[in-house]
Amino acid sequence: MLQSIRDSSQSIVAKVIVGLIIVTFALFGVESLVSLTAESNAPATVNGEEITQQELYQATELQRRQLLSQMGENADPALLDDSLVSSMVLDSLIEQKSLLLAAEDKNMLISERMIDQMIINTPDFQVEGQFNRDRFEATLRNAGFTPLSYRNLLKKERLIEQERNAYQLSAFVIPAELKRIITLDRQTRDISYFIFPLDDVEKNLTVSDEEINAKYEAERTSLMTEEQVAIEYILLNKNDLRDNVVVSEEELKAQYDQFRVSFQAEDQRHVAHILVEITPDQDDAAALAKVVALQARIKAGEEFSIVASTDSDDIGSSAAGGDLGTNGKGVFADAFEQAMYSLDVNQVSEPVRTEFGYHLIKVMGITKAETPSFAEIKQDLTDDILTRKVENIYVERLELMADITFSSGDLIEPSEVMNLPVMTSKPFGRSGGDLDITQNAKVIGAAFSSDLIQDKLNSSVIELDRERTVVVRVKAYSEPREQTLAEVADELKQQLIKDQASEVLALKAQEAVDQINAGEAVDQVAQGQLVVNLEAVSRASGELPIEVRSVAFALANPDSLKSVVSSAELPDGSVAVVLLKKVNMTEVQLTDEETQSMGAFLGSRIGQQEYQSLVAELKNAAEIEKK
Amino acid sequence: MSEMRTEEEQVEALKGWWKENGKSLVIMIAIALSAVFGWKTWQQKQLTDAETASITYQNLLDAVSATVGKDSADQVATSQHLGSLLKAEHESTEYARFAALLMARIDVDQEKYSEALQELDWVLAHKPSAEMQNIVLLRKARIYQAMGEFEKGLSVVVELKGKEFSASASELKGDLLLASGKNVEARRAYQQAIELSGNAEKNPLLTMKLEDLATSEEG
Repeated sequence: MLQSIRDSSQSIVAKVIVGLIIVTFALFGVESLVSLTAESNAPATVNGEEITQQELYQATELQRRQLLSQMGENADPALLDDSLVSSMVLDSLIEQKSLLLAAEDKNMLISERMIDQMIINTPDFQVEGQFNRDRFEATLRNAGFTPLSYRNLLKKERLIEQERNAYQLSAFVIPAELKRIITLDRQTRDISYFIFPLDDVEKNLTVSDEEINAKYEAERTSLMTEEQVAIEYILLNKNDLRDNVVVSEEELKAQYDQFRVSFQAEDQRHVAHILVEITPDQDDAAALAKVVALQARIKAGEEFSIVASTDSDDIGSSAAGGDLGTNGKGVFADAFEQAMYSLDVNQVSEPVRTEFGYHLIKVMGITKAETPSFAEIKQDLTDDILTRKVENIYVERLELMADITFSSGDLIEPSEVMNLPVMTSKPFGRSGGDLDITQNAKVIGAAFSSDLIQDKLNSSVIELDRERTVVVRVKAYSEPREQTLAEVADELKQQLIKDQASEVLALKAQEAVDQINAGEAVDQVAQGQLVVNLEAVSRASGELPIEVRSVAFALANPDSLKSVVSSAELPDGSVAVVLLKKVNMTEVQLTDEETQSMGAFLGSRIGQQEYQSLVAELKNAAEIEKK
Repeated sequence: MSEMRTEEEQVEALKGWWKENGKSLVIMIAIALSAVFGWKTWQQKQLTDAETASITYQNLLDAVSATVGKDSADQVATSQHLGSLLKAEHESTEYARFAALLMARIDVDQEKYSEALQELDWVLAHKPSAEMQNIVLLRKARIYQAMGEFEKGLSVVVELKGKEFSASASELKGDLLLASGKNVEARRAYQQAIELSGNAEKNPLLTMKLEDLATSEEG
């Protein structure tokens, strides 16, 4: 058999096949064969191009991080709905892909060289103004990128940005429209309104038990109680530990000795300076020449402060004769600091070069520092030691708490061992209870988890903040159930009354509108309600309810002397009757600057709208398959 | 090869073969090599061209954004130089069309409306994508409005296709109708725009325009 294999491998056909394999490998790499066999599990394709699982995963992770950092300290990653985030991210990836494919179709290109340039010019990757490879890689690692994936991302973003900018930056608004919109926006209106309060109507309404009963029967299936838990918990509070910690006199002495050794008497200096800046117009040599000239003037007897006020480029201090106040170390640039600590009082330095330019420095005074006495800092030392000790005990107790609550089936044993009382909460729903503990998102999440409700486990330790940690367990759980008539009767009655009152009010308001339209006096129609008259109300005015304002601005411009009327419902159910008496169009006079800035604003608004339409069109045109 | 030949005979045979085929072999190899080389160079050139266009465009964007909201004759001149460079040397690229769009905006900023129209017509003459064509038409109509040629503007709006642009088209139609004094039709167009956009809150300006036209005869 071996012989036959040998023979046939010499044949022309075999040679051709081997030749083909060699060519394929050489040109397209091993992937060409592997990818044929690997089954695609892409979550979506756009025009046949895949969005890979990997891409989706990475983008989702990125999005999650951003969301969490927006939610702040109290955020619990478990509360983020993963499938929701990932479907949102998938949608945006699909949009991105459609845009990218369209850009590639149009032969748009971001070359490798351009990406190099971008990376080198990113301030985040620079150390002292120079690109730094280590910094670059470290920054990427922190953000979860490899150099390759980052380059890819840059390329995509820049391509899309090129197109977006083309439309947004080229959008414009024409003067006539700008003027019209500003005139509309600044127009004011003279109005009157009065309010028929809901209460007044409600007072006179009654509802029979039959009506309540009927409403209950009709709605009973939707009148459910909320799902609730009552929890018990033990709370470890750092501040409670403080009372049991004592600080001995010896400890204090030892701490003071340590402090005295490490305390360096660092005096503070009152300085003034004159700055000669190095700017594009004034290069290093010119600045140096100028500063030397200033130095000569001071040596010749001119007052330092006067030279500073006339010739210093530091606008912050020049008016005060260059005075910078009294400062210690670590405030100024290194070279500056060295100079100011090497001078005696009233001495002026040689020119000192810093990143800002050349300085002449004068020391106006020196404040000597002395080591504080034991009595002076006793309180601070006590606090330091106390805090340190408490921190240690807290950490120890925290570990104990974690161990013991994990191993016991209830909170009784942990409570005894740790000498912490078991506290109980009132029942609360998913929106939280009345204690700050039962309002904590992590506690709520744990309390409604199946571990605690079904398996009756203790929760893991939950840090409420830096000082407090709790372990909770569910004491009682009540499933949602239908409420009885007795429980909801009052609520239903209120609702019925409110509904009826609203109907009555709507009729009443309509009647009032009709009467005013028929020519009756407003005060008469208002039936004793206060009529508010306002002149020149602007679109942003805060002096009247928002609902009244928007109705007033939606009303037609009244012709000649006749007002137009309408009504508006307020958030509390009351109804306002609104009269528009006059529209005031003021001739808008814009300065050139206003025209330009508002033109730019409106133009970019139009550009955004156009670009959004374009993106939507592209998405419509693409063939998108989701799995 | 199994026949007994001397070395000389073999060399002779090779020489003979070379005499017969040598020339054509060399020519074939030369052609093949130059074809490969030419292809590579051409590809490289395409790539470099595209890269140059892309970089020029990027510079153009910087220059144009520096003109926004302020008087800056320098930046305008730079933009115009880069823009015409792109249009002349990379005529068939997307970047050239982008450049023309940007030039039109600069012209409008200086109220040179007929120049702006020329730029936009240049785009239309250079095979823009359907989406780009729609945006160009919207802008042309807006320029006609600025020139006071409302009828021409309206006739441009009619050419717009694409459902995502229909709301903007209706709004613009309303603007043009209102400018030519046809308030009732303008109101109808604005209403249509609101219906087409599906979400009036997204566009408070449109609502404001419509509400201002609320006329008593239509409630």
